[in-house]
Amino acid sequence: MTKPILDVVSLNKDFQVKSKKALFAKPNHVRVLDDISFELYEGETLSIVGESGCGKTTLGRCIVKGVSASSGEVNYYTDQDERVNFLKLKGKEAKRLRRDIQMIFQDPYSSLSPRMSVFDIISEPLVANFKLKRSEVEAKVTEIAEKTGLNASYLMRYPHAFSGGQRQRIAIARALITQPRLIVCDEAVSALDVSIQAQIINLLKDLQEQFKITYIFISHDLSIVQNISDRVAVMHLGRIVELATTESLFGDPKHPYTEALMSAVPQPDPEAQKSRIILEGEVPNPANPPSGCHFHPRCAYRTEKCSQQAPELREVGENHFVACHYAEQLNLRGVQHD
Amino acid sequence: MTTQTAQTANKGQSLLSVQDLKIRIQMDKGVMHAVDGVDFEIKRGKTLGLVGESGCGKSLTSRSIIGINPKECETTGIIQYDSAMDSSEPLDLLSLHPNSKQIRSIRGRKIAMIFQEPMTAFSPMYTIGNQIMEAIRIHRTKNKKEAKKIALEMLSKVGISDQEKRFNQYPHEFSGGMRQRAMISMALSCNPELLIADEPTTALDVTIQAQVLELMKSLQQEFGMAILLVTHDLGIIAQMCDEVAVMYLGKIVEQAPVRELFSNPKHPYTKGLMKSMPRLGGGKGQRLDSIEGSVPMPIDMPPMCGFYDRCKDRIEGVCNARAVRKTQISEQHSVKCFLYSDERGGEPQ
Amino acid sequence: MKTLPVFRRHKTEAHKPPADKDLNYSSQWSLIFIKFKKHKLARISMYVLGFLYTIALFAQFIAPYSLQSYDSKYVNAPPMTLRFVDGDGKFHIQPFVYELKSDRDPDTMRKIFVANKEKRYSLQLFAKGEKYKFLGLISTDRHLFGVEQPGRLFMLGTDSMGRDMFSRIVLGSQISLSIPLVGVAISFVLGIFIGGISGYFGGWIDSLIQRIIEIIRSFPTLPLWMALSAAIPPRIPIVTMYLYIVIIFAFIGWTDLARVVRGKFISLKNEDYVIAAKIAGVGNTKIILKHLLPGFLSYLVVATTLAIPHMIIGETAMSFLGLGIRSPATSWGVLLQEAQKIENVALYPWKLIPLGVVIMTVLAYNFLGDGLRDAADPYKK
Repeated sequence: MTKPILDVVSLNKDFQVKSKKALFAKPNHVRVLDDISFELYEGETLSIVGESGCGKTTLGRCIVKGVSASSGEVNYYTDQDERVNFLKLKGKEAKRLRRDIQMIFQDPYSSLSPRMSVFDIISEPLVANFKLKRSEVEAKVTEIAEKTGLNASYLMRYPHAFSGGQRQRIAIARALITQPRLIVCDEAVSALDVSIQAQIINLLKDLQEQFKITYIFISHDLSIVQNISDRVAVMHLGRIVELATTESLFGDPKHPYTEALMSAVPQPDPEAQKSRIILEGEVPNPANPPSGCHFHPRCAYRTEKCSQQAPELREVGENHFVACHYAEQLNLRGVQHD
Repeated sequence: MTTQTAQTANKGQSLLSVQDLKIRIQMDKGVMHAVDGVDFEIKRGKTLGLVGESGCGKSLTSRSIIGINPKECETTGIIQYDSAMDSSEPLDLLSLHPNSKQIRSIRGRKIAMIFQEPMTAFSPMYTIGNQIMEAIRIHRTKNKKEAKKIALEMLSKVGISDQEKRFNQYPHEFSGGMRQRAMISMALSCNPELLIADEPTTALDVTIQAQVLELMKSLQQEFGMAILLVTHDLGIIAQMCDEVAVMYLGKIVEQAPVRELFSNPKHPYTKGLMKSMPRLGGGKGQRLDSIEGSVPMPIDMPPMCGFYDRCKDRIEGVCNARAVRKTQISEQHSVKCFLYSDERGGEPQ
Repeated sequence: MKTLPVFRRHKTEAHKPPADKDLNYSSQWSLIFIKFKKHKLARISMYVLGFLYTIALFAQFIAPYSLQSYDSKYVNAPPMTLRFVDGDGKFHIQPFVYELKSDRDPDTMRKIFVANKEKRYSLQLFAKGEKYKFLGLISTDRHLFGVEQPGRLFMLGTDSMGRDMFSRIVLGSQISLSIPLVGVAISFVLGIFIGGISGYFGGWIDSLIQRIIEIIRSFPTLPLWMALSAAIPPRIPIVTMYLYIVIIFAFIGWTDLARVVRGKFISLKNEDYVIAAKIAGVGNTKIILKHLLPGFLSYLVVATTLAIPHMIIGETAMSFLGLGIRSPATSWGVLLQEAQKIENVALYPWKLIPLGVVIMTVLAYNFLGDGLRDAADPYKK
């Protein structure tokens, strides 16, 4: 677990927002990712949680080069233990790495081309990356389809013949076919019904065990995150505010935002104690973030310092990083385990 | 308020009772039984939760109460509504024409509704204040000044600060959470007896969801209305409801008071749902019990238990041979499952 | 609504699973076709257009007379009626027409035509007439129908030079129905190319192209046509003139298509499945060919179909004003020139028949386009 597979160094992403005020006005920049750095270890599941607009989806897409980052590095450790910056790679080398890093999207309705048969969808990455005979491709697709719980006799059908859960299995099969070492799951189960959600989560876990895959699991649902991940990063308005192992983050959160997030999750237990932390106010607009610590307007523990100085992400315990000036002083409430 | 309580004394406990509600939709492939024989009762001032997965018919059920389903929906059954606002006889809402004066005087006044996507509930052309006032002026007072006063008061009740400024803003100037608050304030501005909330927090972030749920609870205490809460989230049900009805494939498969349901679920589907849901504090890496298969389309279904294909405890020759009837576990707890029925030994019909 | 598996397992043999089972295996185009077939008006329109184009293809064969033929004896003759029963009440299996005799109205002293019941000419199939080249290949003098020599057949009357309207409408359809097709084909290529560049590269190239499109589109069309057609030298061969006019139309027509292409390009570029292909390592060219192009091709077909009626009307209007096709070549617009004078319309209403044909064609194209538009995205419900 200690061997890194990926590290992200000072990753920034700005979006340009066209100003409507004047014809030739300079576009405004909105910082969606603000100095993101973390390490990812081989075989683990790192979850990235946060509310909408916090930049978690953009982070996932920057890592797989689905969108290009503004600055920073995404270093990837190849099977030969070479450290290469994926963002800088071009041509053949970049293409080679593409096989190793795949992605699963949130909406299984928009992530599969409606115009291709399921077989073509699953085999696409294979055909694009390897020179294989048709029979080899067929064998490989059938094998993956079985592993992901798809009926191989339905492979010539088109995606519109499948339900949401099955479509997500198709998307997983597509991501798996090149035998990647890292898969970024962007809200991979949020669009699914509860009973289907559990099937897909179990499938992801089984596949991880079988193929030794590393996951970056992007989600807003803390219950699922706690179930699936080894480590969790909490994001707020483009910054990582807390990063720790699952036990340590849920049992002993150090950031007030993490505490509030956990407290807000409705528990499926009528007997659960009902005193919860209700944050005041709205999620701030990323185009116009608050000064200092971005969370300070909603934070119950804020002081003068919070509005002036942005806290650094620092290590406060073993493998426990937090960006809060008062992490040591605060006594925050975690989740009680059964 | 006092008059309302006085009249309530003369009326029964039940505010709304739905009996044998069926909604059929004609499709290319056949007739879809979207809602298939649903019975439930909403008590005055209490919250009933309607929980189920997408396509189970929970939204159609709730919308049929105020008659806003699309035209293709062929609805039968009885929706008996016993208002305490006047001493009138109980009324069957389904027998009213969906555009009649009678149902329009109930819609918005006695029964209000809030939706998942608050953006669609407001017209983008008018200010929020204007739209709230309009509702008030239709049902409560013709006086413009008075209506504005009530509207501002409502905005402050739902926790919108700086009401005078907000009053004159347009819906797009509100954030998602704010819009949901504004919609609640509009729904409650006429002091309804029943609030139908269809996935009211699904589009919101968790922290905002917590705010809105808390708000709904405190407003219920203040105004004393009943709530029909439609959701897919068992967590919200546990937190908000007094009673729960679990829907699957157009039928209510289990119905019980909330504590009873969570501590003693009976139907295999209810049990499956609870087990398949990861819970905070449930520990890391624990394998989830999932329900296999996926929800079928209720088109041309033979009389049988709709959950048969996915059920772990199915009894062949019984569950797939005839329609299942409601079994009373206790006074308030009922379930539609052959496991608890004394019929299962009988011959298939 | 999501598609869910249909519950059918427990049906008996009597309930055969309907044919829609195969829908699961249907590709985009077959789904479009299935949906299109359900649009009745569009289907009828397709048959109507098919019929019109068949006529245009075999125009020389179908028209009894050529463009050059005229007869000063029959100026402004009304449509003839085909008869089966003669003046004596005798029935003839072969339909016939009476000879037209020029006469004067006793009251107004205006020249009119009356049927000369003495002379009957029977209708003949594959009648002999003027020589022409069938489909431009086989030299023959047989026409689909005609009357016995020396009789004359004017099914839809004649114009002010004594030319048969029916023949001219049929022959004119060759130009009127093909100019829009060629014009649209050119705009199609220009539209895909320029729109594609605009959508794919974005940035300043996109802005530049969009501004150019806006400028072209803000020209008032009529003066633009007039200016462009003034630039065409007079007395050039018909084929060259035809080409010029097509280019004039394509010059304006491509802007619409370029916008459709650009819009679709941009929206498809950000679809999850396109990003997925990119992440999977699929090359740029392949993404364009396999994901983007099929994605908007159906929309393009719709846009093209709906652009054709504009061109038909444009050609008609130009020729009507004497700016487009000029005699001796004929299009429907040229035919309508005769209807410019009010007395012509009042006295010889059959001169408006080409207008009816134009309206029918334009409507048929519009209905067809409507049907295609509904079918273009078969995945939306």
